Amino acid sequence: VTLRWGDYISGQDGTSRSVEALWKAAAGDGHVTYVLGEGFDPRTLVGLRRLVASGCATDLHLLSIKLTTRAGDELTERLASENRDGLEQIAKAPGVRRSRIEVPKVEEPSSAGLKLGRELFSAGYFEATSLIVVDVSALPSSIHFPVIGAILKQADVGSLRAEFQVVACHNAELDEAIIESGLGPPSYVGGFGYTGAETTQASKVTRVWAPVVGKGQGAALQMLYDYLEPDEVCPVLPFPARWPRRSDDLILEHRQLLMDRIEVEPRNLIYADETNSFDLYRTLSRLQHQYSEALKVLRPATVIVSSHASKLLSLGVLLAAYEHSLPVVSAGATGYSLADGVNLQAISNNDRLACLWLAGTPYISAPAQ
Amino acid sequence: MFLRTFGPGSIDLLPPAVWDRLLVLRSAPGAGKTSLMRLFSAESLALIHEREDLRDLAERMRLFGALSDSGPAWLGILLNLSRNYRGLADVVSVSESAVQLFFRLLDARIMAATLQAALVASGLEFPRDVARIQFRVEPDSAEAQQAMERIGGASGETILRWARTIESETVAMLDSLLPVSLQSDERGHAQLYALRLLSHSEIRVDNTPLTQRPLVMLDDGHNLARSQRDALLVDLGDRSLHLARWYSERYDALTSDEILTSLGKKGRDYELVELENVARGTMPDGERQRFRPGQFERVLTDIGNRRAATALKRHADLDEEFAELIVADDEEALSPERDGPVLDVLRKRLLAARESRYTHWIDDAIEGSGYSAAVRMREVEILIARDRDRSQRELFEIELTDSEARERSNAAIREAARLLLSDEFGLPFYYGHDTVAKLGSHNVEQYLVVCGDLFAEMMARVTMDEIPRLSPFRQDRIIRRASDLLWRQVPRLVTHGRDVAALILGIVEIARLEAGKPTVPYPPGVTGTALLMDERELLMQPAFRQRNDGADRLYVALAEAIAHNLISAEPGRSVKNQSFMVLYLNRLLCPRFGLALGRGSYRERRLNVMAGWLTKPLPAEAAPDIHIEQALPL
Repeated sequence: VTLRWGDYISGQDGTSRSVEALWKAAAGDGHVTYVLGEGFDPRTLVGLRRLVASGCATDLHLLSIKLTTRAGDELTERLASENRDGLEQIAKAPGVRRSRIEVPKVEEPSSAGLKLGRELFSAGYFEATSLIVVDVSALPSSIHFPVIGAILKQADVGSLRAEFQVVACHNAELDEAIIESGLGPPSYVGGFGYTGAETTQASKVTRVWAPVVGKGQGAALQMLYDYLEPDEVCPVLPFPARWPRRSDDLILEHRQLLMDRIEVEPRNLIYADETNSFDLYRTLSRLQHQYSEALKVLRPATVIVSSHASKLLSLGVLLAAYEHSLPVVSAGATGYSLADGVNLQAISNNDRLACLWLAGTPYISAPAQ
Repeated sequence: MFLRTFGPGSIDLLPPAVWDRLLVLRSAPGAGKTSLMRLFSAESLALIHEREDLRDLAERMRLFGALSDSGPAWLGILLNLSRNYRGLADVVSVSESAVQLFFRLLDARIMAATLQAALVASGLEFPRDVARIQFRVEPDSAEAQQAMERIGGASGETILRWARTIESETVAMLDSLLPVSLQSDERGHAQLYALRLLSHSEIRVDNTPLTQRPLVMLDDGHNLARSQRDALLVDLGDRSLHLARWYSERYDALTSDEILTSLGKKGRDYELVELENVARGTMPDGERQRFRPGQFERVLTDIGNRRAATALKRHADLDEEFAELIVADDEEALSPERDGPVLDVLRKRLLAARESRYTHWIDDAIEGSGYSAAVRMREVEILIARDRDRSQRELFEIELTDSEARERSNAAIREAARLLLSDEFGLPFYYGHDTVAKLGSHNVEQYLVVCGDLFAEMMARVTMDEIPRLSPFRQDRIIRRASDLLWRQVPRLVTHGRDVAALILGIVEIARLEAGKPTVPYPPGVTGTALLMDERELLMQPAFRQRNDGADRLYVALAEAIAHNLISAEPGRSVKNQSFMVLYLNRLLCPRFGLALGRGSYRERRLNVMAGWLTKPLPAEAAPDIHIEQALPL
């Protein structure tokens, strides 16, 4: 299988290629547009502060997407306020301007990101920039999936002249400490593949569900399983991971659903490097290829993906879904908060910044000699 | 499989008049709305009519009017409203256009589903034989004629082609990563033309009219945008329509205000069925009760037996029913090795309380052996505590007789004694098929979750070549785990989950306070609270909520908890000239906190007290206090 990001460019803390090196290589004349979520997530400003410190962005345009914080939760309100103050401080620096963007009010939660992605382009935010960076550290996947999808689509249709990178402050412990509250109705995330057509014979498509399993996500997994009624389930588990037993813990936590109810075959378990989005991207791409090849004489097959775990793994899901038009499903949370008694200081020591260069110079084929 | 495991008793959840008006089914998740609708789909009706092994179900369906001797009387057209519709409300900014786009897509899908149902009913294949279908409109119906023109014509082939075009155009519009512009020919439908066509036309297959009349069933309406849902209900309620139409939704579809005010009220322009209320026997004024106490639990037990039957036969070669395998002898609750120590403690306590007035009671109680003796001793302890608690003592305290003990005791006190034994000595309390059915809390899915856990243990025993009967200890342990799991899921499962958890803990606190009293004033135990109806009215006022700390959070948490069946509400209960809204805990939450399963005992609280529960930090409810440990049977 020839993959779009078969030869990929990425950088990460603790590896030989730093995130700053990628920014330097892509920033060109220093016109950088940086998209980030403005909420309570303690990782909100990690990437931005590093970018400012790197000196790569001489003309920095911040697009901060305002996320709502649940009223009455003192801890999350305090963190959100600290992030807001920090962002204002950065925006006051010379050469920095800021636009605050509201998440569009929508009826269907999964439409918000799609609508936002369209609006970012209609408003011309990316017109005079050399580098677009989307920082997904504080953005829920329901927002960053379609926004990144929209930017990639513009690149594909030739309307994007900038380099495009995605950064994520990876911290699996923090991901686990963020509690999702309430489940929205299960739905397909707009902008990706779709198998819900009812007037055709959609039911005759073999559905292989590959959920990236995360801690405390039992209710969401169960809801999506009931919604999809898949023919096969291939749960994705993080391994290698910073905490080597994380995948075992996840199997133990979800054994009732995965082993007792769904009766997942052990050979169907997929292991993906927790710190490398492209590893999962390649695995899911292969999975889609293998299933469609193996079953094509009988009926079409599609891998349906959903992400319930860390940022980097969810980016792997996004890349595979975008390239192969895989349907993405989610039962998005209706609110987020931090678990009580979390030691943020200690947890933040595990922050690792990663940068994925997704479109632009590295992927332009050299002219034939 | 679905039909073989369907409990025919569930059909009684439906009222008799369902064919000539709009029927609205409403419930929390898992109450069985979808299963009920699926039962009436064309495919199911055809199978029920044909299959010999579904005779009991066929008989019930015949009585209900869904089947006639010659076959299905209705053409069940089932559609789920969860796919794509809500997103349409975000494609265009004008709400009216968004509703019109929604109607257009729904029309397309109703027509495609009608074609599919008609072919199933005729024993033909969809979409291969779709050209064999024709619609013949009543000659004097201009409305139906217009409807037919809007939905692609009279032949099955053109209608399906039209429906597919509409669906693919709509999905492309919804999924576009690039900005969308609406074409003028993508205008929507002002009303559901499919319903008008089906009302005034004849469906013909190979030129022969279908005898079945259309029954359009729209499931999961809570997934629609509010504007879509309201417009749909108005359209479905149109009295000029001549077709049966059913619509279902969860309480999520309603606002908090609507949940708190509409509970148990009769629908005005339609037949409203709130499934849990029907199952509980709580009916709107003037309506006949369809389920007597305990009747729905029997329906649940029947469903559990049907679900397990095939696997029990195949894997264990057993003809016994699932419910029989969880029937337990109470005496098993106190194993011979623990019998001595437990009874010794109880005897010592009773003898320490000995005084002439209770000599007869105590001497009689300490005689026995086994679990029944333990229950008897704990029961006498309660009776003694109650007697000592009398406000007026007699001048001469005479010895009380056996018959006085019998008069002063009852089944609820004995149940309380069993619960106290469970708490004090770690004896099992939650076991037996009646208990398991009660734990369903009038929700089929919840009942099946508990049964599934018990069944998995049975299958494990079969694998180890043991009889799959479960002891009270194992049942109790499995049930407490299921309860703990539900409790742990609350913050993630429900919006404002922390506040809902705080509300539940507030009720638990009342229950524990009462359970800790030696006299057990409300046997077998309190599992609910109550709010004055006047205070409920206050809670509904935004200005009041703004002024009072925690009131707004209580208002939202209450509606969420009711919508998800974590708390059930019975408004308008009269006590001592006052009217209350009684709030009971979902029964599956009770084992987690060691509470009784009865519904009846509650202690009222004022609105400010309840609101205060939500402003306090959530207490750390750690691991469940299960102290019943038993070695794995390996």
